Order: sequence, then structure tokens, then C-alpha cells
Amino acid sequence: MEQQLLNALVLASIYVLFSLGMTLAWGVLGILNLAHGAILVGSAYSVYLIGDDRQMPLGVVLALGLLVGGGCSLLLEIGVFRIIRNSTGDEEEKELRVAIASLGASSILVAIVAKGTANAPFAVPTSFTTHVYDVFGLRISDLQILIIVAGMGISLGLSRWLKLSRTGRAIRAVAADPETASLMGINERRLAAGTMFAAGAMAGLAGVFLVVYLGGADPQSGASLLTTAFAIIVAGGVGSIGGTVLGALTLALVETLILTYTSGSWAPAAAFVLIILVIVIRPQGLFSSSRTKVDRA
Amino acid sequence: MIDWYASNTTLIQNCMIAILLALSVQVVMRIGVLSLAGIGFYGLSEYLTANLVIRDVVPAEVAILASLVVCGIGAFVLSLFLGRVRGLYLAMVTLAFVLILNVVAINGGKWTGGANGLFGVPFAVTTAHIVVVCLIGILVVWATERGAIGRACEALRTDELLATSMGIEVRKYHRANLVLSGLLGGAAGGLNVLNLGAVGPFDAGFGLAVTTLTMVIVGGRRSWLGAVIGAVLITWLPTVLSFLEGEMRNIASGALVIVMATLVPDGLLGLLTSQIRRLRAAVRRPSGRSTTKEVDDDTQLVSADR
Repeated sequence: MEQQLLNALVLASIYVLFSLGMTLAWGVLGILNLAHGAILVGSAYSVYLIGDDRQMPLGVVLALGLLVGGGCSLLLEIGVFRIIRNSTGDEEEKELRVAIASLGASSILVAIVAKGTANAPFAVPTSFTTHVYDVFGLRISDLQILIIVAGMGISLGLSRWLKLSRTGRAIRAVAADPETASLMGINERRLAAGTMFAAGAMAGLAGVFLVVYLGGADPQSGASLLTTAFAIIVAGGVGSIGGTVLGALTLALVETLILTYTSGSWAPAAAFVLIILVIVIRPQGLFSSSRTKVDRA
Repeated sequence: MIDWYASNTTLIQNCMIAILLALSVQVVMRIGVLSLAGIGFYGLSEYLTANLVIRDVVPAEVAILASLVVCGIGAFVLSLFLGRVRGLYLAMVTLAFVLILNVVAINGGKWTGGANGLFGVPFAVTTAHIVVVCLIGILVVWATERGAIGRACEALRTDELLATSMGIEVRKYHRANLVLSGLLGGAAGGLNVLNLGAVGPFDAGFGLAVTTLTMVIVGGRRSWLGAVIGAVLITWLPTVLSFLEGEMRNIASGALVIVMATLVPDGLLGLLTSQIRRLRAAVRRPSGRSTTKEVDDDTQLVSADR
């Protein structure tokens, strides 16, 4: 049982890394990036290509994933999302077109990976080998520790940074009211680009962690991760970092329990049921008292 | 003509079914709602029709009608739950609905055939059946796009709050369009399974949702004609552009979606109508010096237009 809880915690940390970027982009800029899952898979695949059988240290592999993920996301922001944002004033229309365009970008990325791998699972080449420690009968690897520290550390750091730093305050201002924020001298364009880069970078990091942790990844795995992240985000309340962490923990726990105690492949349904329950019954999210676009941390 | 028809029968059938499916997405988009529930009802109807026919419960026509009734009721119930849900939330809830049906299909035991799906469904429909159902679908969507109903839908799409204040019953229109979407999706699914003879758990999943959305976005989301143009184009294009193989096709269609969503939000139909309008305006106001004769012609043209 303890072992299952540990597995759930590691899974939750990867979910957190992946969902944070999505919730940030949606909460701050109103961008629901449906290519987020494809960016995760794409950056892991790029690291596989760059690596080319050279066994690179884990740090290098993670940094590469981070850069490629951030780059992809930034490219989408500059080449697509920004154009759509500038072309219409209608918020709903904007969100809808951004979501549809990102869906197109997602098919392109997934198709490239599927073509390159002939739809077979791929691994990230790294010289890293895991060591398993025995802590009071609990078997925990150094990779698992690293993932948990990264996931929880980054979310804590991000929430502190958003709350305390000058740029963090600017981001929250843009989330609350972009127009007034720009009147106060905040450069929304640069902030949007920075936010999207950070979002993609976290997805890339999550992608490399996931592939190294599981030993391989399927080119099509982005779509299911996307719905998982969406469930986490709406459960936590859009834009809320604390909510994202709680949502990820809940979902990872439920999925692990379903996997352990049932024979069928019902685990993916947990996320879908969560989405429907939350949106239909409690649209402001399970863990937030009011509908917030920005994290109050 | 007959030769062409004979060698393209499958393609024509697929086009007609794609049109019904595209209409099921377009019909909700015309009130400004992105709902993928039509895809879910497509899958539901496929399995339902297949089960009824394989087990010899009822003849094929009755099986399709029964599936339609179930889809209609299902869509109505769904619309009750979706009450105030709007925008991207609604899109993702309906996507979750589609994906849940996928999971159910995999775990459904003998009723769904698990990962293998169901096969050996008797081929009970002809091209004529498909064409007739498709035309009925188009007719219904066309008819509800005109007159008072059409204007109400247009108002809802532009501004829901404003539409409410003008006395348009938002709920009623939402429900009606969602139910119509479910019926169109259900009709497409029933026809498809009786036409292909098999159904798999991922037939009506994420991929089909993206393809259908592509059709509507490329063709134009404002009108039934856009959905028809998009469905025909996306179904037919791959056979013309046969050099685009496998994944290249997905890359091309993904790029197309990005271009349309970014630069041509109203689709090919929107592009066409705006061009025609511009052309007409150019005819009405001929450049250069204008004589009384020309002005006379101009007014005549305008009155003829009306």
C-alpha cells in the first residue's frame, strides 16, 4: 500500500509539472493550448533525436527537453496565438480559435513523431542509472525522489514568485485585466511570450522525466495526458497553482487505486468522469472558494 | 458518368456520412457552441445499431430508428446537464463524454467486443438510403437556418446576453440544437456501421473529433453549406492528393487547420461569400467617371438584386 502511495506521488509530480504550464497559460492569457500534450511528446522525441545513441547525463537530457518544449510553445505563441489575439476583440471567439489552432498544431507534432518512430515507443538515451534505496521497507529510487522534488519544488517556487516578485505581480495584473495592465506600462506581448515559454519548458521537462521514468513513451500518449491535465486544472480551478497540485494528487491516487484493484482498463475514465463532475456540479473547481483567474497562493 | 459513379461509390457513401457528422458539429456551432457530443452519439449509435442487427432483434431500418431515438433522448439528457456550461468548458466536457464512451467500448465485454470491436454486421444499406438520409439532414439544418429560427441562432452566436434581452429563449435553442446534433451524429453512426459492417472502440474517438472539426473549420462554421463543403473536401482531397501518404496527410490537415483558424476564421464559404460581396460592390460602383447612364444601370442592378 505504501508503495502504491509512493507511485501515486511520483505520478502526481509529473502531472503537476505538465499541468502547471497549461493552467498558467489559460489563467493568465486565456490560451487553452491543446498542443501541450504534443509538446511534451515532441520534446522528449527531440531529445531522443539529438541524443542519437550518445548516453548523455540526466542533467543535459532534462535541459534539452526544457529548451525544446519552451521553444515549441514560444513558436506557437508568436506564429499563431498572437495573431489570433490581435485579430479579434471577442474573448470567446479568441479562446475558441486559439484552441482549434492549437489542435491543428498538435496533429502536426504528433504526426512528425509518429512518422519518425513508425508509431513505436521510443526512449531517451541517458547514462543515468537509478539506485534504489530501502527506507523502512519502502523501495524508493533516486529518480523518484528527483521527480517529486522537481514537481513540488517548481510549483512552490512558482507560486512564491508569482506572489512576491515584480514580474509575478505583472503577470497577475495581466490575468486580472490585460487592458488596464497595459496602461500601467506592462509589456503584455513580452509577458505572454515569457509565460508561453515557461509553460512549454515545464511540459518538456515533464516529458523527459516521464520517458526516463517509464523507460519509453508512445507517440500518441499526448492526447490522454491532455485530458488528464484538463481534469486536474478544472478540478483545481483555472490558474490556481495550489489547486493544480491538489488536483494532480487526487487524480494520481484514484488512477493508481483503479489500476491496483480492477482488472479492466478503466483508469483513463477517472479523468473524464472528474471533468464532467466538476464542470457540471462545481465549475469553479473543487479546491477554490471563488472563480479565480490568478492564483492567490 | 455511370463509370465514375461505379468506381467512386465508397467515396460517395463516405462523403455523405461525413456530411451528416460535420453537420452535427456545425449545428451547435451556429449558436456559438463548440460541442463534440455528436461524435459520441455517432459511436453510441454504431454499437447500438450493430447489436440490434447482429442479434436479429429487429430489422435494420428499425434498428437505426431505435438508435436515433436513444441518441435523441441521450442528447436531451446531456443538454439538461450542460445548462449553464459554455465555451471551452463545454467543449472539454463533451470531449470527455466521447472519451468515456471509448473506455466503455473497450470494457464492454460481449456487447462491444472489447478491443476487437464488433464485426459481421449485415450490409443493410444502399447508397440510395445514405443519400436520402443525408439530404434529409441537410434539409433540416437548412430549414432551421432561415427565418426567425435562423435569426435567433445568429443572435445567440453573436451575443447570448443581448439575445436573451431580446426575448430569445436561450435554453430552448441550446437544447434543440444539441438534440439535433445528437440525431445527426446518430444517423451518421447507424448508417456507417450498416455500410462498413464493423465497428471498433476507437472509431468514434479523439481522431474523428479532430477530423470532423477540421471539416467544419475548413468549410465554414456559419452555415450548413460550409459543413458540406468541408466534409466533401476533407473526404475527397486525400484521394486526389495521393502523394500525401500516412502521417504526411495529418501534417497537411493540421497545417490547414492552423491557417484557417488564424487567418480565415469563417472558412472557405466565408471567403467565397465575402469575395462575391466585394465583386458585387465593385459592379455597383464602377470606378472612373460616371455618367447618368451608368448610374441608371447601377440603380437597376440594385433593384434587380432585391
